[in-house]
Amino acid sequence: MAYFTEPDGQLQRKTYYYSKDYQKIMNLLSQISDEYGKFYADIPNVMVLAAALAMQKGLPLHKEIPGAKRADSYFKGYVSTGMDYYQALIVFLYSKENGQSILEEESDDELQKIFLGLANSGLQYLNQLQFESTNTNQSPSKIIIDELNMSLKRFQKNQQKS
Amino acid sequence: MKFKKINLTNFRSYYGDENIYEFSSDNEKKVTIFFATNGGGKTSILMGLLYCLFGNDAIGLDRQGNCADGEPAKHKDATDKDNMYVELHFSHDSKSYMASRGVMSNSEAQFYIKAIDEDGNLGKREENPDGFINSILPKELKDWFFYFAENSKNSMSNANTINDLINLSGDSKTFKNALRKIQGFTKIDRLIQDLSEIEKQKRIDIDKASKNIEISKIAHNLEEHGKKLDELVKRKNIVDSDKKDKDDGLKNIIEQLKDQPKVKEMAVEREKAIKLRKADQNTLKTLEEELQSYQADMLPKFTLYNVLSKSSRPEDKKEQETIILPYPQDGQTYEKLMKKRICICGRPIEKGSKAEIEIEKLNTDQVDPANKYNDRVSQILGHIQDIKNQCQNYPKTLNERNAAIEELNKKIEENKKNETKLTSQIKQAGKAESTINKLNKLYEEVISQRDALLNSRGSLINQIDLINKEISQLENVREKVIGEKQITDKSSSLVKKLAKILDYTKRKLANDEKKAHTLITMEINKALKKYAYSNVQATIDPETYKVTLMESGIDVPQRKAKSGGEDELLKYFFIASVIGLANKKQQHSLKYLAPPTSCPLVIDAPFTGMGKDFIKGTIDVMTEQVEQIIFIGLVDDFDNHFEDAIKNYIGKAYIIQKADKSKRSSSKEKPSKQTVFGKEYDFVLYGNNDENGKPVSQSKIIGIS
Repeated sequence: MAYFTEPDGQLQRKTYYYSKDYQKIMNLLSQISDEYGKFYADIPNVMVLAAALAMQKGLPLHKEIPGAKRADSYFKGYVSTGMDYYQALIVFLYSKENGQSILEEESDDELQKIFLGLANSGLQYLNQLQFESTNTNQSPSKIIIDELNMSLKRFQKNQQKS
Repeated sequence: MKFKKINLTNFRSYYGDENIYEFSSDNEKKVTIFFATNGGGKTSILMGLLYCLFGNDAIGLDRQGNCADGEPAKHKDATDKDNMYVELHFSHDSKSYMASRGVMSNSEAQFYIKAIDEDGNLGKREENPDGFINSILPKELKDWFFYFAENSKNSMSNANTINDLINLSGDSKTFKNALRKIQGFTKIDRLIQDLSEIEKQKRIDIDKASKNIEISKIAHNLEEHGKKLDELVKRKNIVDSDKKDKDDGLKNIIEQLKDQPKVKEMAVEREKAIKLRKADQNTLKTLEEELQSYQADMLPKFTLYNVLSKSSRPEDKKEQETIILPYPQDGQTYEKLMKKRICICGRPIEKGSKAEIEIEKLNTDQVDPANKYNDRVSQILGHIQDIKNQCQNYPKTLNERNAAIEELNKKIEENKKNETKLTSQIKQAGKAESTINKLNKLYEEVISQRDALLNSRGSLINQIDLINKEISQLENVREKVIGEKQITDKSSSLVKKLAKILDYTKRKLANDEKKAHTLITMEINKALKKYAYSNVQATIDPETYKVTLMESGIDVPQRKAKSGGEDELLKYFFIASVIGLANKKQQHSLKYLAPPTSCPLVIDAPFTGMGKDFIKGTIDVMTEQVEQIIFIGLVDDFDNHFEDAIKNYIGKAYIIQKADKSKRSSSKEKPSKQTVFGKEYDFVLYGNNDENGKPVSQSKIIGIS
C-alpha cells in the first residue's frame, strides 16, 4: 500500500496519532494497559475499530488535532498488520461520492486525513460511552459486546434481506 | 546193668583180637570167675572194664601210654598198624548195648556205644556215650563196684580196696555218701536242693515283687498327675480361647484399618484435581481471552460489513447503496462479470441501476488490469469477501467457543466439587488418622499380647507333653506291677505247691532212708546171725552211718580186724546189702523216688584177708544180694574152701595163662598143666602167636561142676 510503502518499494513508517483526550480509552482497549485485559493487539486495531464505529454511527469527522504530528500519542503501522486494508476500506466506503478514486495513490494524504478524522471521532464516542455515560461501571468489554451484538443484529437483518 | 561179653584187643597183656570173654548172666549162677597165673592179666580184666566204661583216667593212663601200674595200655608186640581197644557188651533196662573204646591205628582215640537189637545187629551210635554210661553207672560210684586187690594198691595209687572204703574204725562219711548215692538218695538230695533253691529264689522274687507292688502309690501318683494334666489342659484351653480372641481382635483391627480412608492417596488425588482445575482454569482464561479478542476483532469487521451492505450514513440512506463491483482479473472483462450480475457485497445488480451504468462505463473504459490502483481495489475487495465470510461464520464460531467455555466451566465446576469432596474427606480422614494410630497401637499391643500367649501356650504344651509322658510311664509301671502282681500271685501259689512237694519229698526221702537203713541193718544182721560164730550184731548210726559191730554190748571190730573175722564179714555183707537193696529197688520191688545204681560187682583177689570159715557165708550173702559177680584171682588163692563155697554159683570160669615165648611149644611137646579146684587143665604154651603166626588167646574156658 502506498501509505506504508514508498514507490521504490522501501517500507515507509507512517505515523498515526490520536487526541490525548482519548488516552484513557485507548489504554483500556489496547494492550497498553493490562487493567481489563487485552481487547486489541495494538493501537492500529483500536484506531480501525474507532473509525469503523464512527462511520457506522454516521459521526462527523473529528476536527483536526492541532500540533498533532508532535503532540499526542503515536503508533507505528506496518504493512504486515493488515490494518492498511481496513484503513483503505473504511475511507473507500466513507468517500463513496469519490468512487474508487480515493484508492488512487494521489489520494493517500486525503485518505489518511479522513481515516484519522473518523478514528478520533470514534474514540470520542467510545470515550463518552465509557467515561461520560450515567453508568460509570460499564466495562470496555460490555461496550464492545453491546456494539458487536448490535452490529450482528444488523448484519443478520441485512443477510435476511439479501 | 549186666555185663555180657568183653573183647580185649591188644589191650595190655591181651594180644590179638580173640581175647573174648563172656560173662555169666544166669540168675542162679551169677558168678564169672577168672583164674589167672601171675602176670597172666587178671588186673587187665578189671582195667579193661574200667577203661571201656570210664576212659583213661579210670586206669591212670599217662601220655606215654602207660597205665597206673606202669604197664603199657597197648600190648608191647602190637605194631602201630594194630588197633587197641576194649569192647564191652552189656544190658540195661532190657536192652543190649556195645561200648567200644580204644586207639585206632591212625592214633585216633574213639569211644562209642551202639544199641544191639534182638538179631544182634548194631544200631546207631549213642550221641553222648559218656553221659549214657554216667546215667547208668555214675563214674563217682565206680569204686563201689570195682575193687582192686590189696596188693594193687602199691602199684596203683588210685586203687580202691574194700578196706579202703569200709574202714570201720575210720570216717564213715564216704560210706554214707556211697550208700546214699547207690540208693539214689543223693539224686533226691539234689532234687530237694534244686527245689529248695527254686523255692527260695521264688520267695525272694515274690518278696521283692511284693515290695515293688505299690499300686496304691502309683494310683495316687497317677491321680495327682491327672489332676495336674487337667489343670494344664484347662489353662491351655483358656490360653487358646484368649489367643482366639486376640486373633479375632487382630482381624477386626485389620478390617477396621482397611475401612479407614487413605489420606495420602486422597491428598494426591486432590492435588491432581487442583492441578487439573488450575490447568482448566488457565485454559478457560485463555479461551475467554481468545473469545474476547475474537469478539473485539469481529466488531470492526461487522461494522465495516454492515456499512458495506448498507450505508450507515443517515444522508445516504435513501439515495443509494454502495455498489462495490468485483474487479476483473487477467483475461476477465466486466462483460463477463456482468453475466453474474451481482456486486461484491452480494446484492444483485438491477437493470437500469446506477451499478449497471457504472459497469457499462467501466466496460467502455479500457481498464488496465496491471494498474496499481486496480491492484489495490482488488486486494480490498478480496478482503471484504474475507470479512463477509468471517461475519457469516461468527455465530457458529461464537457458539462453538461458548460451548467450549461452558464445557470447560462445567468441568471446572465438577473438579471443584471433587476437590471439595476430597477436602472434606481428607478433613474427615484427618480425624480418622488418630483412630488409625490408635488402631495401629492397639494392633501392636494385641500382637505382643498374642505373642505372650503363644509363649505361654508353648510352655503349657511342653508341660502337658511332660505330664503325659510321666502318666504313660506310670501307666506302664502300673501295668507292669499289675502283671507282676498276677505273676506273684501265681508264683505264690506255685511256691506253696512247691513247698508241699518239697515237704513231701523230704518226708519221703527221710522215710526211704529210714527204710533203707532198716533194711540194710536187717539184712546185715540176718546174715551175721546166720554166718557169724559169735553173737554179734551190727548197728548203723542213722545219722553218721557209722557201722558198729557189737558183741553182747561190746565193740568188737578192733579185736577181730586182722583175724578176718566178723568185721571182714561185715564189710562184704554191707556192700552186698547195699547193692542188693539197689537191685531190689531197680526191680521196682520197692517204691523210691530216684532210681538206684545197679551194676555187677567186680572184685580182684577176693577174700584174701578173710577167715576161711566166713567165705561161704560171704559168698552166699553176696550171690543172694548181687545180680552179677565177677571174681578175678590167682589160681593159688582159690582153695578148697572157696571151691566149696562158690561151686554152685559159677556160671563162667576162665583160666588165663601168661604167654611165654621162651616156652614156645610144638604140638609134640607136652602141654603145660594148670590145676583148678583139683582138676588139671592142659595148656599149649605158645608165644603170642600160634604155629600159623596168628595171635592166640591165652584163656581157657573151663567148666566147673
